[in-house]
Formats: sequence, C-alpha cells, structure tokens
Amino acid sequence: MSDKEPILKVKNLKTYFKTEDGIVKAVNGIDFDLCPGETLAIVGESGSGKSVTSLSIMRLLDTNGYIPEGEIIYKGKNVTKMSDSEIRSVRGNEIAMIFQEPMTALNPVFTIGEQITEAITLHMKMNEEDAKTRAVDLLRKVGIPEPEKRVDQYPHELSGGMRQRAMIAMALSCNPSILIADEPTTALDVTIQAQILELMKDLQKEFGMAIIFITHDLGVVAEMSDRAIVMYGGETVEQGDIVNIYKNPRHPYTWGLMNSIPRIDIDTERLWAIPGVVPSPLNFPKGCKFSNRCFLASDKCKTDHPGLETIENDHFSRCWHIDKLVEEVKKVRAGDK
Amino acid sequence: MEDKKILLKVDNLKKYFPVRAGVFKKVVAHVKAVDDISFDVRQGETLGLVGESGCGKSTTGMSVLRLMDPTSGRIMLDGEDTTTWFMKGSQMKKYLNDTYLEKFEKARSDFKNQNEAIDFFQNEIDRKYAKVYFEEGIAGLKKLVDTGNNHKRKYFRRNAQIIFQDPYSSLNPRQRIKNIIAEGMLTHNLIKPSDVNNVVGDLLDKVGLQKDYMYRFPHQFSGGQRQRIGIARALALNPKLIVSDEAVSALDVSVQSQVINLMMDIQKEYKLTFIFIAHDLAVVKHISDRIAVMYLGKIAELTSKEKLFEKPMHPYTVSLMSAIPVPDPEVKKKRIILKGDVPSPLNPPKGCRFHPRCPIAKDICSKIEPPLKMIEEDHYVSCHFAGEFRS
Repeated sequence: MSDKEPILKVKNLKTYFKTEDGIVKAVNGIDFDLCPGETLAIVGESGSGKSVTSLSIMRLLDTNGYIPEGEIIYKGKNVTKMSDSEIRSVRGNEIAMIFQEPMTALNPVFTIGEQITEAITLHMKMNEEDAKTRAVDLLRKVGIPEPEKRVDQYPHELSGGMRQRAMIAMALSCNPSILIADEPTTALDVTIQAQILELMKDLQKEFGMAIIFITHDLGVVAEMSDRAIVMYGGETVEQGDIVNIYKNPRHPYTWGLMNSIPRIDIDTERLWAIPGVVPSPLNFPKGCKFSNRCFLASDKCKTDHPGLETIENDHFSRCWHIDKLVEEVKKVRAGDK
Repeated sequence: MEDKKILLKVDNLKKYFPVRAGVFKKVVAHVKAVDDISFDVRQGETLGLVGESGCGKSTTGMSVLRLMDPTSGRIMLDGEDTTTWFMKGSQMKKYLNDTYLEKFEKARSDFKNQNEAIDFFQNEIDRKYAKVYFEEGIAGLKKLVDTGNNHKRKYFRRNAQIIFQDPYSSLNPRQRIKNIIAEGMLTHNLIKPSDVNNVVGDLLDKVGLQKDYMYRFPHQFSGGQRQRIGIARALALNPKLIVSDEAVSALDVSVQSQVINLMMDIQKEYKLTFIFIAHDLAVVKHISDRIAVMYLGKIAELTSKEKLFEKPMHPYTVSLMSAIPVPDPEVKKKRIILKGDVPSPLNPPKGCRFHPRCPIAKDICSKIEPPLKMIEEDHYVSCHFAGEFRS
C-alpha cells in the first residue's frame, strides 16, 4: 500500500457479547492498517460485524460487549487499554464518527449549534463565542445554506440531507485524523447521497483525514474507497485493493455479492442468488462460516476453518478453494448462457 | 412495442391530503401527493414506478388499489371503470357528471347521428356508457354503474393484490402462516376448507418455503422468508394485477436477489401484471419492462426501460442516473450533483416542479408547467426542453 506510516492498526480484533443464549462472537479476528488520507471500506450484510468493528474502535460497545483479544493501536497507543479519560480525549476529537440515522443520532432538544459547540469547547478549549463562529464556518463548509440561521435551529427543522451534513460538521469540528462513517448515506435519497459523498471526498482532500466507510452498498464502496474488507460472520473473508476486490474477487461470498446486485450499467438476464440467509450468530457452521451457503463447499469446508491466505501483495481471501473459484465461475457463467 | 392489451388504465389521478390547523381543524392547505398523472399498464408487463421519497409513488400504488380513495381520476381495470365501485350517492353523481355526461352531451351536439357520437369515443368504456346514456338516459347509466357494487368490489379485491414493503408489520403476528395465506381464498370461496392444507402447501412450495412452515407464526421467519410469505398471499387469489410497494428494499443484498428472482419467475409462470414501486433505479431497471420516473407528484418520464437508459430525456432522469454509484472502481463517472433538496409537496414550485434544481432551467420553466407529451413512439416526457440535457 502506501509508504506512509499507518495511523491506526487493528490486530486480530475480537469483540464478543454476553447474552442469555451464550457468547455471541460478533467480531472474530480482523486485521487492518489505516493510513492517513486513505479510505477503507468495510462491507457486509447485516450481522456481519461491520458496525461492531467501528464501535470497538470508538470504545462505544454496550455493557455486555467486551474485547477478549486483539489490539487497536492508534498513534502507538492501544485503545483497548486506555483509561476512560484517555479514550474520552480521543473519541470525538481525533476519531470522530458519523451515524446512519441522523434523526436519532442528533439530540432533538438542543440546537445544531449547541451540539457542534459542545465538542469544540470540550476538546479545543475555545470560549463559547469563538466556538459558535467555528460552528457557523463548519456548517458553511459542509454546504448548508444560511448557516447563521441554521446554527440556531433544532434537528427537526432540517431535512434528512441537511441533518447528515450537520452531523458531518459535528464530526469534523475538532479536525479528526480518522472519520468513521457508519452507513452515512443509507437513509438518504440518491441525489442527496451523491451530494454527501461528493462532500466527504472534498473534505478528505482538504483535511487529509483517513476514513473508515462502513456500508452494504457495493456501488458506494467502489466510488469512495481505496481498499476494502469484506466481512461475513464476524470475520474478514476477503481484503485488498478495491480494484482487485471488484475485478478479481477470490472469495465465493464476494463474488456472489458482486453478482447478486442489479446494475444500471450492465444488463443481466438473471441475478446470481446466494442461497439461504445469514445464520443467527450462534448458529454459524463449523469449519468455514460460509460453507452452508457456498457453491464451492466441499467436505473439508464443513469441518476445517480456513485461514486468511495471501493471494498476492495486499490481497487476502479466507477460502479453501481460492484457486478453484476462477474456473468454477467460468462454468457458472457458461451455464447461465 | 407490440400491441398488448391494456389491463390497467389510470386517467388524471389526483390524491390530495388535507392539512388541518386551528381550533376548528379547518383545512388550510393540501399536500398534493399525486397531482394529475395518467398511465397504462399492459397485460403481463411490469411497470416500474421510481422516484425519491415524497414523489408520490406509493400513494399512486395505494390509490390504484383503492387502499386510499383518490381525490379524483379514473381507474380502469380490464375494460371496466372501477372508480364508481367504491362510491356512493352524491359522490358518484358528481363523478359521472364530470367524467362522462359533459363529454357525452358535447358529442351529442357535435354529431347529428347517435352512432357517430358513440364512435367518436376511442375508449371502450366511454362507448359502452355513451350507448347506455343515449338510449336510456341518466337513469339508465346510473342503474348500470350502481348495481351490484358489493359484488364488483369483491371482484376488484380479488384481482388487485399488494405486496408490502415491511415484511414485519404486514403479517398478523397472531395468525399462523396457513391462515394468513388461506384467508383470502376462503373469503372469496375459491377453495373448500378441506383443501386449505394442500393449496397452501403448494403455494409455499412455489415461493421456495417448506410446506410444513404453514403451521408456524410470522415471528419464526427472517425478513426474506416473510417477504416470500407476502408473495404467496398475493398469489393465492390468482390476481390480475399485483402492486409491489418497495417489496425488496428492506432486504439484505443476497436475500434481495433471491426475492427478485422469485418475483420474476412467478410473473412468467402466472403471466402476472406488476406495478413495481421502488426507489432503487437499478432494481427497477432489472425487473421492469417500462418505467415511469416520478418527481413531486408528477410523472417526469415514462418509457420502455431500454429507451430510458439509452436515451433519457428529462433532466431529472439524467441526473438521477448519474447520481447512482456504479459498483466498478474503474468507472469514474462525471457526476451531476443536483442542488438542494426535493421541495415540499405542500408548496410545490410553480411551473415545472423540477425547475429550482434543474441544470438547464430557463424562464419558461418557472412559469408554465410542461405536460407529459409523447416525444417519440412510446416515450413520454414532461419537459419543455426534452432531450437537451445529457450527462
């Protein structure tokens, strides 16, 4: 990848939750490095552990969640071992987050301005007046018209796109070095989504922050990111450069996902369908977690858990049949026709 | 496009929601959710209705199915005017007067001969009603439309079905799947109670579920499975028309493709006619034969999917397409970023509704509302400058 020093290193991260039915292994060993200025996408369906990964980095897990193993190294310090006051100085300041649902993530009883200045006064030691000036500047920067007026409005007075912009302004208020965006455009209309994505790209160019982009939308991933991690059942199934992942997917799940979405640029007669559904987190099969839905699954897949294999420089896949996939896919394609 | 029979014809459909305020709940304004749209759905085809939130696509579907009463407009299913089936007394009188009597009287004065006057009308229903009106007068026409409405309504309900967006709230949690699917068939006397198990079992089989699932309750199923149950329920009555309102939007990618494939398979098998409502243009493109793009209660563009994607003519369609991210990292699209948000349907812009966000808006656009007109064969666009904006 880039020759820059990574700003965030996640090593063998595991996040478990204690529940009445047993221990749910929501994230079970993921590794990645994040360099300044790059965008890393974490892709997966619901229940794949993509959001839990981001909450682990932010140390925002529910009380029944814990990290039994693994390290999250931010600027040389292990986030999992930080004291509460240490993490508080990092969270929202150096690592900021944008959530999916701007209506629930914003506090309805405070004005937009109050919510933005809260972080500024806390982390940047500014007085109220300067903080408000900065809030107005930020709102202008994220493209909110009449920011002087909007800063005193409440979240319900803003449209969905506006709220998402306000939340981005809030996340940017302390010049974070990492921005975690958890499905930031999923609730928005496409024309508004296009505006927000454009804005995020521009802001990244300007401020040089690293972005972790969590989404299930493969179109958005291709558009926004440099590298991607595909998650299934709490594990990385494929990881690599974005072009490799899309042009040369080497895990049957990645390939299946790519081929099960209808596209506006290509006509497909019939969509590929991955059979079955994502099992409940307590019921994943032994061996490879995808084996019960995989068209390549052999006996070995059902009993032995595959490791993450290197395919080429910076492209990894967790599959026993990495070499078979390319040929099998050709057969499937031929069968289609 | 070959000349296929028109199954559903919608003329000048409007649906306004009153906004009430003050102590006496006076109506102060109207939200014009659907404002004068017309379209046909041909037998066996899928018409996609696509647009952003608030464009009126769901309201259109609901009004067509009479799950909402339209403010005005005529809805014709399979050669019959179904609008009056849900009307009473004065409302029906007004409707008949507005929709038929005025134009019948005009035709009568324009032509000397009664038969010529009848032939003047293109629409089968107009001709039928005109004949009755000329021969038996208003009383005859009233008698024709006002008899057996209970029966007619039942016929309508059986033949126009819906699949809802949210598979969690659209299945009764206290009913077993068997009852959910069989209820309609029993109400309409399509099957005997003793056949329920067999018929429901076959339907479940058809939508890819196990037969013995019929004894389960909705909470025992995942989202995708529930959507399959919703499809089985709609199929059970062997309807002529199915409206699918965002039926795959809430599903995960891998499950979404399963359900899309299922819907396309059963359409082929049962020769069903679909109105497929969704906000995702890629999904609509995949499943539809023709597509209507809606914006703020109006149809912006209506044509076959091939033409729509090859040669979009409305600036909104062009922008909408360019806004969709393509899952290919090597494609770097030049994107048209529309300014601002969709305006509120409470107070839509004057003239063309898209003009405040339109990249090529001119003076005329803010003054005169462009009608939906045919630009070329089977390609309707409501824009003063259709085809002049390209990405």
